[in-house]
Amino acid sequence: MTELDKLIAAARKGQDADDGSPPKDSQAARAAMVRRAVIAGRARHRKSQERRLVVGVVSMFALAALALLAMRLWPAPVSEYALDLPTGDHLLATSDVRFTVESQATALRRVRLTEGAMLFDVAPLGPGSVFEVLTESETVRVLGTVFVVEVAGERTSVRVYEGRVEVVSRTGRTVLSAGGRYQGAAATERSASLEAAALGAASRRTRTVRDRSARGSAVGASAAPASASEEIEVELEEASDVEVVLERETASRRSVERAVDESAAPAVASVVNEPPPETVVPETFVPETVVPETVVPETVVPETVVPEALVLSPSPAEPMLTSEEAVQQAREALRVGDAERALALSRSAHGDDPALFLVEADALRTLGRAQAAAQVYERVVDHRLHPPERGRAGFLAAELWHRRLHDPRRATSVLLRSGALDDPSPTLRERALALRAELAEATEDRAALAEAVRAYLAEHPDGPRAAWMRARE
Amino acid sequence: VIAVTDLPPWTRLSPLVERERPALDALVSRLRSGDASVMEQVVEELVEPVSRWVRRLIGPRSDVDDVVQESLTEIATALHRFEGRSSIQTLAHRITTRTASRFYRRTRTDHDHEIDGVADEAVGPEDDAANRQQVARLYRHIEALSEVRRTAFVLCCLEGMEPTEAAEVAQCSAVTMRSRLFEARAELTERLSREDTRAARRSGR
Repeated sequence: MTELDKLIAAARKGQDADDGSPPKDSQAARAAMVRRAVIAGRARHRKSQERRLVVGVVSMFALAALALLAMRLWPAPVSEYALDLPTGDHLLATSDVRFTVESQATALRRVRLTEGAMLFDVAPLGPGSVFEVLTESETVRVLGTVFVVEVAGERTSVRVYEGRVEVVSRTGRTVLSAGGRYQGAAATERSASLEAAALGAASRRTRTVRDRSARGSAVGASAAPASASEEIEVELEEASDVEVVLERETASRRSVERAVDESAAPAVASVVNEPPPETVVPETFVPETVVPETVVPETVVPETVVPEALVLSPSPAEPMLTSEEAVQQAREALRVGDAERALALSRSAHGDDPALFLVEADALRTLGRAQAAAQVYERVVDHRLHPPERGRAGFLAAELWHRRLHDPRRATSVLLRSGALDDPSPTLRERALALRAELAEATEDRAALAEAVRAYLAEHPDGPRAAWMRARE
Repeated sequence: VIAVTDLPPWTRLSPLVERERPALDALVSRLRSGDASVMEQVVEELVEPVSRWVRRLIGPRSDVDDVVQESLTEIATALHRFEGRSSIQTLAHRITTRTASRFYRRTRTDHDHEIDGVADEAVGPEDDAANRQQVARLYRHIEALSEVRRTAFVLCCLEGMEPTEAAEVAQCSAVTMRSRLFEARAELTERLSREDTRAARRSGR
């Protein structure tokens, strides 16, 4: 028997003798012990139930908050609803749209849009007829065009797919042609979801104009130029900050012109082929991960989906043209909104005339083929003749690479080598500097950002983006 | 419906015994509904075994009653959620073991054990004093063991439980329990031997 066994035996002996019946004093003490245990046990159980209830409620709230967050981060895909008015107007709306058709009379069609995005494919209006879109603070009056209006909170964005748009604000006036945007930063995926339908509608409209033009030629009638009755006006109400004027011209130029209101400032500056300025500081400058230059893929961004009917190759029946003729005719086709024909014409002539590239890029851009357009603009920038338009082409290419194709590095590269930052046009210089700053921010190049901000504020202290620049000084 | 006096001892009703199953189910439903009289009856039944377990787990101390009270309170709390997957005795033993372990963690000091409760009327005063010394010595070493080894040693060596029974209380496998018991015995033997060696050295000086 080991010593341990002896100790165990001693302990068992002693405890067996003790009989394990405390408390020894009385049965009353034992009953009190039981009662205390039962009462305390009940209280502890109740407390633990309350704790579980609290944890359950908190968990439910946490789950609900997570679900809400998930819904915000991954919103349900936007579907679309189509509406045809008896007057022939075709409306296409995102599923979350809130609107009222207030009037369907032939003389006055009026839609009030309070939230969401809508595509308006307006049937040709007779003399004196009006088509109006009312938003919270703006009135858009048209006489026939294809455009998308989106109301997101208090901001309204407009994108024109066919026709011409002029945006007048307190600080200036901007003319947008097909492809132009007004407050593009305010547009969301709702507007993007309507893009394919808008391009289709614009293409149909273009074909109709062309057919009409052909029929007119057949009967010996001259093609009617833009008349006053074809003007489309989008006006803001008096109390509004911004006035939008959409102007439909036969000359559907690929240009965006920005002109200071004559009454406010007599000096008129214009930049051809310039995208619309955004009066609101863009909020979509998401800094991209810094990737070494050598591994940046050059052309991996997919093209915007374009209806097949819009992608045309040069017509085999097209006669061989000189480059000047091709440019002239392609410009003319662009002016009547026939981008497919303009593209075919621009490709029908031989030679490396930069003007041909320019019109081809304009046509591609009108057709929504952003990547191809950007590449052709770049050919103008890198042209051996150093054409005077290389600054403008570089700016447009950079805008496409940055805003549509989300490649700020390539955008920076083309902007810098195009010389847009030193262009004689002050308006182009202003836009180019602003774009340079955006690109520097997107690529997290602090030195370049500081330099661009300094240059911008030195040259345009009251420019439309001065506030944005000061915020980054 | 079962009558309060019909089925003692309730705390031994086992879910593994088919004929006891209905009574255990009825008991569970009355405990979960908060029936105070049944609760008191059950706790009353548990006072004696819990006292014995506590004495064996922590040794003869003056604060045994506090540990017994705390164990009974814990048991009464758990009975509100009792589901009848084991007998109440097993549940109570498990809770008592945990409570004793908490007690050890709280009061891990090297103080001498009080030896009031180990008097043996059958032996003389000298033998009684020697017995008390032995028990105090054993518990001083038990206290130094880890929680799992201590539980294994007390359940099997002092309570006299089979390793399979002890494993159910400690919620481990029988093999694990045997292993813990072996380790506990080995450690205690070594400790005692070291202590003897030290004592011999001291007396030699």
